[in-house]
Amino acid sequence: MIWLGLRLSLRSGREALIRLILTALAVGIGAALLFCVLADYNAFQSSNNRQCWECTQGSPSNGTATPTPGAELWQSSADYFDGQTIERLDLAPLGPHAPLPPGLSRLPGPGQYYASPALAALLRTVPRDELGDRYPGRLVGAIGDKALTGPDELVIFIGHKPAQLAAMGAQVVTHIATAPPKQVWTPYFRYAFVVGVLAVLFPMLILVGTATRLAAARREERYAAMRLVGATPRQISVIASIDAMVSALLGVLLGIGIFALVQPALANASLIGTRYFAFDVTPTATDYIGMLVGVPVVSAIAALLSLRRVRISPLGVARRVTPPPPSIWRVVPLLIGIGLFVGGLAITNKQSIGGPAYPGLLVTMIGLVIAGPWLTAQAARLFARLVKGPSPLLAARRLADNPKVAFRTVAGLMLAVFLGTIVAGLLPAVNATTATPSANGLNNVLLDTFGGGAGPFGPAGLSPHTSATLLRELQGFKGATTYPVYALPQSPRRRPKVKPPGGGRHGGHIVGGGAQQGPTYDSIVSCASLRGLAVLGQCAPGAQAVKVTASSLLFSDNPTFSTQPIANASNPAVSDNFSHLYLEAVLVRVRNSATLERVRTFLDTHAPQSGSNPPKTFGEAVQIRLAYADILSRLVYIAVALTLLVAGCSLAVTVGGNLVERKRPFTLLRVSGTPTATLYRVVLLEAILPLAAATVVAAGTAYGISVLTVDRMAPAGTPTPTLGHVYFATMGVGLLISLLVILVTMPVLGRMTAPSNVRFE
Amino acid sequence: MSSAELSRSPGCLIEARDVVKSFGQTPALRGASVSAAAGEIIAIMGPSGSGKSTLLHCMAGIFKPDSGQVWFDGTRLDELGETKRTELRRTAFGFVFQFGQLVPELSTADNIALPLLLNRVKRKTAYQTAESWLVRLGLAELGARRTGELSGGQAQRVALARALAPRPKVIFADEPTGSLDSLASESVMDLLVGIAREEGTTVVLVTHDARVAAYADREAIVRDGKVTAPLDPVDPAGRHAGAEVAG
Repeated sequence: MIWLGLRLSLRSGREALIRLILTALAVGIGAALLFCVLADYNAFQSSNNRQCWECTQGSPSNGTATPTPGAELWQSSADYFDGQTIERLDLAPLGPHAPLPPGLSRLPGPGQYYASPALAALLRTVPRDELGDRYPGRLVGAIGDKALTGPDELVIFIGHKPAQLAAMGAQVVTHIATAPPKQVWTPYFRYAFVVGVLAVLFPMLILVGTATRLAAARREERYAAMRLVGATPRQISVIASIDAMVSALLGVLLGIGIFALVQPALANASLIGTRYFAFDVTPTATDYIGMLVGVPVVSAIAALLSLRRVRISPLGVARRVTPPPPSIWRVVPLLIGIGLFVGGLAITNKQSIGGPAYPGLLVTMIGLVIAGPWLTAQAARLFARLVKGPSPLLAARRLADNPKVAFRTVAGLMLAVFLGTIVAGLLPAVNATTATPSANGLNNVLLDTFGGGAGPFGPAGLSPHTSATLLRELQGFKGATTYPVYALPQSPRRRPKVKPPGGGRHGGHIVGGGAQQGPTYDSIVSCASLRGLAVLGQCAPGAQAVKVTASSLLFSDNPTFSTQPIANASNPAVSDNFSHLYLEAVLVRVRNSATLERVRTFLDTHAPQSGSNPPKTFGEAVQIRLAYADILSRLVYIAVALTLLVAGCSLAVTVGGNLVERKRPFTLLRVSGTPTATLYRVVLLEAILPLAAATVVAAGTAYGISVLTVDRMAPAGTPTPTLGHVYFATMGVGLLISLLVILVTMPVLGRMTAPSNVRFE
Repeated sequence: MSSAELSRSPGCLIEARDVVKSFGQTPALRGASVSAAAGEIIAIMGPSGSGKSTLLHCMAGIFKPDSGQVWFDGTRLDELGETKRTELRRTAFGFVFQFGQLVPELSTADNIALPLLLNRVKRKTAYQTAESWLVRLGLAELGARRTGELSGGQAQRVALARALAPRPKVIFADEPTGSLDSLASESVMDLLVGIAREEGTTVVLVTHDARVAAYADREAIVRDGKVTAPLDPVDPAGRHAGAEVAG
């Protein structure tokens, strides 16, 4: 039987070969897309599981460099260049056998440094006063991949003399952390990837199922003929399974080939904003085996299920009686889902989303799929009532006859539109809350803080003498305006806690900075400075300087808090004689990016740095916070685009399959004088009607959910969500491709139904 | 009446007794009876919709009658399960229909070998048998062709070869010449009857064409789901003698 099944699959003439190729192609595209998602997920996992050397914790050196075998002085810090984070590690061995950071073959000596390939490239091309001057010494080698999360990561390991580094407050380290970092965001990204995989998997299963049933009527005739000569139902099942498995297996092999072709491009593309190492962007052996086994098995199951649906009798296909039309009860799960979601929103506040909202969203998605056939049937009836003519009649009758089959084709598209619309509705609101207008007003203002904790400066900041020199030199930069913030005497600042430890690239951020300190003033700002930084407020008329509460401005990385006004007419005025005051921070407005980097380089090298809070602009702070939302939105949009693509393939296969199956009635219609244009319209309407109904309902429901969510969660004044150009571009291109796919089949329809083809046997 | 009491009529290979079959609310057979002896050729005639094809399908075990009995070689066919009836179709019965019985994706030789392959005959033997039938039916040159490339007459001869290849005891032919011109009809019927007589195969032939029915030994007429006596003898020479009909 296996031989006969293979014989029927592989050597059954041109039409069967075309069917095999089409099926394999459809499965191949779906498999390649799934391989791409799995490859990127593996790269993401691999990147996250890399050794977190930055997480290394040591003991305080207390400013001394006691020779100790197997130990070294270690100071890890972050810096910025052109919006990118630079990981900096300053090192000095305290004796022989000092621990070696990953990616190095030996420790850099004093006056030497190793840089990651990306940073080395920047150091070669960017003027020294914008970047290179930040690092003492000379480049002696490249940091290996083991220390990096990707080829674009900027990392530098700088060697020092122990005494020099001890004076900078470095820690004594005897063991370098080897565990992967604990990340706040990683689980969310992992869920997003899983959602992405499911978003592609669901339509792909539909695609595999549809492709398996391609030209099912022809095969059912074949099976009936075999039953007539005595083939048992079991033998038919074996043959049908082999037929489905062969095309699916060829499809997966084709998918592997397609993936191999696009893998270099995928490795180069930073789909979620991070480029991974090419060797990481690959499915695992388990993924390959899973696909090679799983897809054919799924195909075989789909084939067997379709055989179950139709009883192959020796006299032909005795289809089950026409199923009853879908009832209105199919809408109930959708309404329950929406009800749950709205109920969840009712108990939602600005801090947390109400519990029922999550299952509500899931039930809504399931409800859309369940309600789809009913919606399709209603759309068909409405269309038949509104539009007269043979084409609408034929199309509407067929859709109303079996709306489940018609909807199955567009189920993937419906979910893609639903997810895409929610994301498109919510993201601008999320972005609006982060990138407040006041944050935009400080976009090009660099902030460097000097006070507030242990480190190279005292709790109050830079001494009056040091700060005077610093400010004088800063004033020498063309295109830069400096606004100092002084510490209020006898008011040592308590720096807010930094969470999680390790900071830098693994998402450390300051929390609690937004807490208002009431009228407890802790800083002094000149009114001239405030005039230059208007969003921070104004002094009372006639005042020269005022006391302010600047904690949130200086120590919060959340622009929602850090860019709130700190002064108004009620702030107490003080003298503008700052010569005896400690410099707590400087804000420097820069005219362009080159000036920004020059000023940053100057501050890096001339003002002691705390390490965890390097100088950065408020614009960069906004971008860092938006990066997470950006990555999530990219993931969802990629999932939506992939879903649209796979669903488009399903649509193509279905339309093509329907044409093959209806060759006989369509040809007879043409023979009896039906114009080809009428048949074209029938095919178009049959595909477009469910697509339009699904799109409108999914988009409408999703937009409603977005509006309600923003209304409940976003700060007052946040505008009603509008769907931006990315949304319309993604959806428009996806739907356009779907329509093009349908149009491509039109010439096939013309040729296939030529009256000369009237002989069917 | 028990099965023992209703043993097959003497000399009969296949027999339908008081067969009733309905499709939903539509009755097709209302108590039809007909029998055929080994090596006999019977023709079942009747107007369109009279139930003659349904009677053939019941006799061949394709349909299970709602009531009545079908006997084949001493066995109650209507009491057999689908598996046993399928096995009988594979080993003891052959079918020639008007069209649609060939697998279009397979070659002529494949189609003839198919019932043997399904019966787990060795591939080499199955194809050797197919080749011999191709030669016997004058289709030696067409073994590699797909059935879609054959003329109607050629396709029916392939169907005949396929029906005969497992050496069945009964061939059920439902309008075997329905889509053929008179010349091709004659050729197909000459082969069917000639080989059946050579092999001693029983033929149950459904037709509405008197010229085709004339090849049969006996003729039964089906009207409104019942078998009636023959209206006109096909052959005045008396080939109908012994026709057993019941109504």
